Amino acid sequence: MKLSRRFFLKSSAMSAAMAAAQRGANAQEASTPGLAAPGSMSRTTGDVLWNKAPCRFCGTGCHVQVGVRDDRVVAIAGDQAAEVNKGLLCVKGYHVGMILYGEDRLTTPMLRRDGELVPITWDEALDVIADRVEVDPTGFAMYGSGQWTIPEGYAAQKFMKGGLSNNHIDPNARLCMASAVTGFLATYGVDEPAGVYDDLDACDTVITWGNNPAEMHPILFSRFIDRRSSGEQVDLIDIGTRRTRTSDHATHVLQFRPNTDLAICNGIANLLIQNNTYDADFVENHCAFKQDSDPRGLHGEAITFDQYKAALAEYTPERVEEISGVPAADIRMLGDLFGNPDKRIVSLWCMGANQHTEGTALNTLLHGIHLLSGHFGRPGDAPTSLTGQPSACGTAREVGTLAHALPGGRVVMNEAHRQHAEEYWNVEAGRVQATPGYHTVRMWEQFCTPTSEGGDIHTIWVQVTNPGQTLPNLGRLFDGKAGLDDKFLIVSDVYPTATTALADLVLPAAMWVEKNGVFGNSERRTQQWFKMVEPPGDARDDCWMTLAAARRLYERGFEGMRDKDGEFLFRIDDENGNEVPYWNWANYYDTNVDEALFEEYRLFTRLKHKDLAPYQEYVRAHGLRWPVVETEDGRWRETRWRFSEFDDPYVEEGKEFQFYHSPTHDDRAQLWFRPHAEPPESPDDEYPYWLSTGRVLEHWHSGTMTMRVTQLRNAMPSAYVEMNPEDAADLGLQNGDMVEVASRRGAIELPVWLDGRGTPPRGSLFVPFFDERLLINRVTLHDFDPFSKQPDYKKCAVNVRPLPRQQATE
Amino acid sequence: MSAVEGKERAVQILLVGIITASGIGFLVGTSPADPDMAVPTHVSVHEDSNRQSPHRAAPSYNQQREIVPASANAEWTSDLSALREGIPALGSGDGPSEQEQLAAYAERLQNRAYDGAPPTIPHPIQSQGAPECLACHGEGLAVDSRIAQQPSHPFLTSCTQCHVEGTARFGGRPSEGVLAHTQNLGGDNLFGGHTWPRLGDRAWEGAPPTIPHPTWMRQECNSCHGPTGRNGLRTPHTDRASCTQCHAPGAVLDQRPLPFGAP
Repeated sequence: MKLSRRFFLKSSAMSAAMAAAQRGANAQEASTPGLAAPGSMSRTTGDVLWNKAPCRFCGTGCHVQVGVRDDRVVAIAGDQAAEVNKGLLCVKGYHVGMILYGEDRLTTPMLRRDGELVPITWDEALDVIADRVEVDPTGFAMYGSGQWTIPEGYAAQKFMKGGLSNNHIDPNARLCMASAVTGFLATYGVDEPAGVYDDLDACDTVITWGNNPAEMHPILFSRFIDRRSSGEQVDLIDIGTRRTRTSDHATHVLQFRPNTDLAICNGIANLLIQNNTYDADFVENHCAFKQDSDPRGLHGEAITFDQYKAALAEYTPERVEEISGVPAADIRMLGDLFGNPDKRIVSLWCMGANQHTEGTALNTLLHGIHLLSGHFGRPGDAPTSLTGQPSACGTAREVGTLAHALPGGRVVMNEAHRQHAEEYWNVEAGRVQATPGYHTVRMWEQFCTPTSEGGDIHTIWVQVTNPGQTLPNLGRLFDGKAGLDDKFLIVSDVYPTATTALADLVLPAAMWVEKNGVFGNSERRTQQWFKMVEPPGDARDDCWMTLAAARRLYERGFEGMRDKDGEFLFRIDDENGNEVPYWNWANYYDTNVDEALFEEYRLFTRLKHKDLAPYQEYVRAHGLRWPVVETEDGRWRETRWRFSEFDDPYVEEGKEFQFYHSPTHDDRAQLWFRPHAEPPESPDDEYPYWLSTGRVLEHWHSGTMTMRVTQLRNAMPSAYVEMNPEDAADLGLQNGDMVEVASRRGAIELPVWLDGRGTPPRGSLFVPFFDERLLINRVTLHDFDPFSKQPDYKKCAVNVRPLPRQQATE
Repeated sequence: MSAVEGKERAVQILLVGIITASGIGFLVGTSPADPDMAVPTHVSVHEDSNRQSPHRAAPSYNQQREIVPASANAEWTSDLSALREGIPALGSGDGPSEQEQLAAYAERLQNRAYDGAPPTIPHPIQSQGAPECLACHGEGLAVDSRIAQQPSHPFLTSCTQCHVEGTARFGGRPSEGVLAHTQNLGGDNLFGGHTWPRLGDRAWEGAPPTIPHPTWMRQECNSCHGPTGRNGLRTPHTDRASCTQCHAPGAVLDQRPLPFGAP
């Protein structure tokens, strides 16, 4: 079966949608008012054509209406038909259209010659890429992100694992939600949340765990906070390590010492058992117990309820207070809350729990307290792990662009899983390698290590991310590349960044509505959009770059880019069975490459019940939450509450709840015991402060886009260090003074901001990472979680040294 | 009056004084163009004379009382009725002139990326929390030429998730060091924002104009058109409270989901 050829453009709906896309790309043609085409989501007001797209920024996945006139985005509106955001956006969303129009967009491919980046043609650029692959395909790596669209990530995945037989592909999502994934796998045996955002409409209490949604997921925050303005009572319990904007709306603010969150979870679980307020029926019927094995493994070893109970016993409220600093009375308050079956509780967490050297353990405990108390699987009762990137779920996790993964929840270590991929890709058995590639930290370590010293990654192709700013411990993991002449860095991006600064080949990329795309958000919602404006200059789609490089390799006789019938690995045929030469840029939009790749990828989504609908269903919808199953009348139905019989079509009748991918194969979720553990580095005499890093409302990721939006840059123009005012007073520091923040790894100079966005407790600092001129990741450490390999950006030990004013202004 | 009551009373008077003084400071000194303006913020008391610090220790509140007695300053008059000057009486007037309308419209666009973008905040804010926004904006406030508009979408309570400062100040005391680090990245943004037509359609001369802009999230017409709206956008008939009984919104403008296509 030649599956790669099956994707014809034959439906009339497809043609209509393509026509709409074409109109979108040429707004001046669209002068008819009203809906542009049946099934498409576009309409006009005056001379502005509006069309739907998911926002380019965080993992919330809001839909925006994009207003286009004369091939330019001129306005943005919150999409009222979108269930995620119901017509509202945050300040980044309202200004998302401006990210296309920074003055310094990259518009031509550039190659470094004699230290200078000089313009070259795309044709030359493709040859450079092919040359680098041919140096040694096994030392060629790809580094992407949760900002890859699903088709882009799928193309990169197939290019590397199918084309180069090489598993060295990893996304920046490794730095962002890898521990969430391992937490889901260790608990449910399958990735991604059981609940949905609807839980925020139904809950009585929201608990934020090291999470500041008022700034980082504003739409989800306002979704429950604004319920208060209609008279509902919604309690918010903010459990964190510093006061934030979220704290100001909270009913309770509990501050814990960094890294002691595991003890708090254990304290809650212990109280549930001691008070006999856990949900005995739920646990009896749907749960099993686990603890770490020796050596530690993702699935640990089974224990009995009595062992679980005994292990928890030492975590009395008083003991938890001793460890965490949270008063015993507050631990009891949490125990009583979870012990109350009448309350509906949503837990929210994101980087605070994931960027943690015990991130996997903490994720399993957060699921665990919800499972133990039965606050699970009913509307309003959900342990909800949030993501930070628009397609961290859709691409990094579902397409599986990770060093060990294959699409649809598969892993390269599993022979059957490799066979599925080889079958769907129509390549010979053995093409997909069984050994996982290098995870992010290891990949960059190997790249920055001289070849003579065993650094066996010679080239990395970076797409849609900025590792020169976002990797931890940059001095070791990124800057080390400088001076290594045989190492080659290829970067596809839209603006000059800290990463392009060291790049040998820079490829100008189209972004967001300059291309077709599909994203998958934090609630399993897959969302499609069409290209609406042309990219500037010679900028082109990332997906085209990957496929054109594959084609160039094919033309140069590279065997890996042929399927087992000798055809191009990424062949797409038109309705007459003729191959579409889409690798020529002029022909790229002759067909919908996204649709062809998506339909092929869909084949992978059934195994783990992450079923996706046909591409055309997403054209008509504001996203659909998987599993999306076809009903008897031929329509496609999304699933909101996974594993719950009342909504999930894959739960067998009468089961009420069924964890049908249980790691123990008995439909049970795993309740873990995880002891409190010390962090790899704690403050001491030499480095007496905790440092935490993170985001701010206005800026997203490394600020590459948002720092070019006037309104966002003006509101938050530079990084800063947030200190406790009493610590500042001890050092004679006032607002705006400059200090040096130094760790064992590096130092940067920053202005002090007291009582700004947040207030850390004494002995703690916070620095946002968005500012490429003030790279806090020169200071952070790269110790990582043993299961997920995700580094801890949230705690390391630093010192603060006041700088005299004259020096700071030089 | 007992001693305790007397003490409480003194504290209350002091508090009233402080709030009044900060209110005046806020209202008279919030021009975003003034980079030297200081905003009340956390001031650390620093009294260890042995430590070498380039900074003058801030006086405590008690010391401040001695330096600046907590009483009305020379500019302050307590003529509350004067606050209503400039607000037209109910039912009076012919509405703003075209010139006033144009000026208001231009001013309105100054702190918006496009018509429909959330306006940036033209004054410094406390960076944590939201509730203090409503102290002035809750019911709307107009003092002389300065206005604090009512929220046009009062059901949304996390104000700062959409409205950010037009000019950041790091709590109000930008130092040389901060300024050295805040030069713009990447030059200008070349975005050109869309604006809606200024005037609504009238079916005939004298007919009530239709609403020329989307009304989604602008449910509170008074925000712009009420007594505390900008001069030039204010309605000449503030006594009429049911705006949409005469002024029709537009389904297309509002981007309402339309199952049967455009009307």
